[in-house]
Amino acid sequence: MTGALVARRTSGGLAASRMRRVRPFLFIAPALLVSLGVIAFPLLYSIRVSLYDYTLQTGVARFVGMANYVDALRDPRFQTSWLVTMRIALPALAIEFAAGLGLALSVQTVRGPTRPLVASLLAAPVLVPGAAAAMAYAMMYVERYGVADALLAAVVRRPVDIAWLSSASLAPWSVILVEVWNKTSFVMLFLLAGLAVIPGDVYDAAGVDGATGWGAFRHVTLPLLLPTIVAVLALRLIDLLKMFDIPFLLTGGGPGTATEPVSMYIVETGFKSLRVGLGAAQSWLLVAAVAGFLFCALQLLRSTRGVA
Amino acid sequence: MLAATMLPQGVHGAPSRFEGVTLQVSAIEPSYAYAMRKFADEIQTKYGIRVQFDTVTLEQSFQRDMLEFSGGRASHDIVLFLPSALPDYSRSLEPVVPLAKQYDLTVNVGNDVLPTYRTYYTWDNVAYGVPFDCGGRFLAYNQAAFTRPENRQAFKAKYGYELIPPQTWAQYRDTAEFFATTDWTGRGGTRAGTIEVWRRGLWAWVWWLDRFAAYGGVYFDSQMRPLINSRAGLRALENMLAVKKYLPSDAATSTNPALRALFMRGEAPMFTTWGSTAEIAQDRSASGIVGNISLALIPGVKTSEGVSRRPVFGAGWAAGIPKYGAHKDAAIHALALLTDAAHQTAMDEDPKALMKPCRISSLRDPGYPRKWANYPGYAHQYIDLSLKNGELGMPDLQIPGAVEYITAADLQINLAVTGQKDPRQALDDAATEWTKITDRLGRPQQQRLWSIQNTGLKRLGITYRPELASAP
Amino acid sequence: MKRRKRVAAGLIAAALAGAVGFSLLPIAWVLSTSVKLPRDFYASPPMWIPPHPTFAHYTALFSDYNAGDYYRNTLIVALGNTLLMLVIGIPAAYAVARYRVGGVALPFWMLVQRMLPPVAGLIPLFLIFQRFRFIDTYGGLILAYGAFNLPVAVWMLIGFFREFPEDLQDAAMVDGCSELGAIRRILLPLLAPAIAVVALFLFTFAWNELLFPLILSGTSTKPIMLLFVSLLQSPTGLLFGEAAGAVAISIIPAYSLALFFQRYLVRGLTQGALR
Repeated sequence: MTGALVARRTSGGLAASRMRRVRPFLFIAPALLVSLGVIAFPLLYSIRVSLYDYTLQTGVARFVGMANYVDALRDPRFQTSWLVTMRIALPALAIEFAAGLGLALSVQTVRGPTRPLVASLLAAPVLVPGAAAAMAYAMMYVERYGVADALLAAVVRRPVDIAWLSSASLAPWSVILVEVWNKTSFVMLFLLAGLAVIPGDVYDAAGVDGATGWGAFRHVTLPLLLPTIVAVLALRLIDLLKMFDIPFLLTGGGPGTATEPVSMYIVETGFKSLRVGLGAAQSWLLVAAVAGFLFCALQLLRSTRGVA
Repeated sequence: MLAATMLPQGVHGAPSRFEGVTLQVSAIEPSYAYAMRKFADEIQTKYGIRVQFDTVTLEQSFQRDMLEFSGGRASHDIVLFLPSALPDYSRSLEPVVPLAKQYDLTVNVGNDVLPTYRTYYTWDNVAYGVPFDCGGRFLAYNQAAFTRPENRQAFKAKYGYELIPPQTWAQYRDTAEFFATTDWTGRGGTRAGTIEVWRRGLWAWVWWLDRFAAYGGVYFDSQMRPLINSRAGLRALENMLAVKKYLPSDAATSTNPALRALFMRGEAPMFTTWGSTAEIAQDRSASGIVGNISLALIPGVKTSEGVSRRPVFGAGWAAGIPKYGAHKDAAIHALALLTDAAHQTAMDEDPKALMKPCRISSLRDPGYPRKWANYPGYAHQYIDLSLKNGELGMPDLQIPGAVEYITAADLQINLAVTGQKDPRQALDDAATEWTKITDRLGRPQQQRLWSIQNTGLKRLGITYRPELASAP
Repeated sequence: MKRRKRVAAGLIAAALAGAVGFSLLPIAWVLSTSVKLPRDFYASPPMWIPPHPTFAHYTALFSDYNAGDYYRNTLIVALGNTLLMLVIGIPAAYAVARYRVGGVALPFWMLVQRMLPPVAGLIPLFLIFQRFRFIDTYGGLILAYGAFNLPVAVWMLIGFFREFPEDLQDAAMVDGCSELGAIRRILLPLLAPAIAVVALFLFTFAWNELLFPLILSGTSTKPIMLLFVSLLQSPTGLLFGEAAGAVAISIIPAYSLALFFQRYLVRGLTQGALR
């Protein structure tokens, strides 16, 4: 309709009107070009690279077909990196969601000018780059002397020496703590925005029907909030699957490989061991996994939209 | 002609020869940058060259250099590198002797260099690096801890022999256990029985290699089968695990400087380490144990002939000139100057430079002990041990892909010492990795180059001695 | 009933206070450490307000660790990329929002790109950049950052453009204004706050980026997140004062910009995801 409206208003004949029909494509051309150049083309090139045994050390590339993918899937360290990624991502997601939802609901109960202040203070960590957060916590986690141990020591009145980063079982939780600190506010803000668009009349109507407090939450808020919840969970999960900055600076993947997620192992394969063919194959396996999650999330989102 | 010879600067008499040229030097450690910076003015005056120093960690510099060289680039004109990286760097470095000859310069790679380091930086009989900082490993210990009468009595009572710097790895375990469970300062509040660095990324490997080599281990056999998972390798790991509880809890993840700082604060009485610790420990601004530190050879293994020791050469550094650099001519001038006997001695004698001598001229220079003017006994101890280390040391693996082999083994060792893998499994996995790497890089070539290094090792008296693995 | 409500309110207040404390504690500690004397770093119980604050660490950052270079490089790349993304993103978003160019496929492709792991593009980008000598160049980084910022830019802008009432623009064009003119004189000025939000996000993402410059930058272009890498691995061990100072200066832009754009932040955060 709009196009027709525009076409009717203009003059200039056939050439000019063709120009106007072409214009939207001209508008989109530069972005398309850049997108093809830095995203699409590299990804396709990466498929090609993944089919070769290519190391930067020798510069020699030998066609091996799917061998890199098979090697990657069979590689115990690659498998471990997936386990590590899940081991950090899933608890982090759960905590971020529970805390984020709790905080969003709590903030909503705050009335008046205090609310934006509280929300802003709670949102402070979200603006800190992941790398900076990792640095800050790296200092706090220093054993015996860092502020984490010092604070605990002040509470229990005894020297405290917790192996935050040097225990293979505790180190992943130390990483989770940093992620949670850095990103929970994002979940909170997202849910706050979702809560904000729920019209007040819905609650009034529910109140009329006798539902208050928890009942209202479970039967009114939650269903209406569901699409937002699914969206934010999907966003966070996909981001967590890609994690790199925080483990890289906080532990370097250690102790051993206890905190080495998939992205970090790919970077090591490609740029430290210089085996770019294998690294490309590993990257595509990661892309496939993320794409799979994305697909499921979109399906879920569509179904929850239907419900609401 | 006469005018040219009367000009004070430059080999060919042209002071503005390299005017406007700025050299980028990858100095790795700030202390090396400090050492070379002392002569930056001289280089500028003499050749018109400006020198800039970049201090990036060794892991980063290796990665950066390899990535750049693979694309035919080099962002630095002079790079420092480790001996184990020599085979991989050699492809992209300019042979120093011919380059120097082009300009009537000489580089100090000949007879002045300590014998064991002389061929350490040559590949295929071509010198690609000029020895810059050498040095072996020591057992640094807190003198007071070993001389305190209460400690001596308690130790003798418990273990039945005198409290001395441990000679064997078994004694080292005893000593570490003793110090970890006793109040050895009499003032309470101490932290560990000994300090080691088992961090991932070449550290765990070095501390394991100290033991593996002492137990008679060698990297491969003559058929290029890995020997790292032999009995010697396992004994080495077992000793590490036995000592683990006496180390600071973050020994496997913390950095060398952070752990070294613990030793400097007097929190543990022993530290198996490199010479740089020996230098810092007497510096009042950094150390709390000045005057209290002594050095000994690192522990070994008791044999019929005495104690067999094989401290790792580890962090010897060489300076090289990348083929792809833009100012190779200027670089060789600067390098020749920085590595001649006079300048190297000056750098070696400056305690802040943290440089360990590669050259006989430095070690024998009468001014050298002046570094520790207040502790003359210490100076002689250091010189003697440096010379002995020169005879005993275990050279790094030096075949193509050496860094890859070492990194793979290092990871498995780190997994074992952090309790994430069974020691035998870890070593077996490492050996499997090594076999895979050899196959990937081309077995015939690797085997040929390994046998060359193996011959060199044999000439130094280093052979695989499986019987030592059963020694106490 | 009322009492229960008050107890509940009290609990919520306590929980919120605790959460605020938890959120601010690391930031406060970092700021405090950045001005502490070295001997106070390990004070136990921890020292929050140093009695003798010093700016020596900040000075050291700029003189010994070249923080100024890092800052300058990051500003150039982040600003450059933000500008580029806006310049190519705004027309594209307009075309998609208004003319549905590319149908449903295009926005979906944008969404997929936003979700892609950056590391997947890193290896091929490195190889391509190496071939064309783009490594360690500002232009190269500005382009490379488009890999993650362009989808964000276009996605958010499409959302904002879709909200914009078309009648306003049509009315102008009825009055004889050309399409481009209408865009310039009506659409853009009214959407300026929204575009500012997008700019804030693009700038922040570019500023915070660690992985891409880790591989694609070099001595001339290394951005501020890499300063952390060199401080962490410094031979003198973790330099608490300098590291804390580095963290402090790295969060200044985000916080300053956020202060300016408080109101729009939340909208921007959720824009596009719900549509």
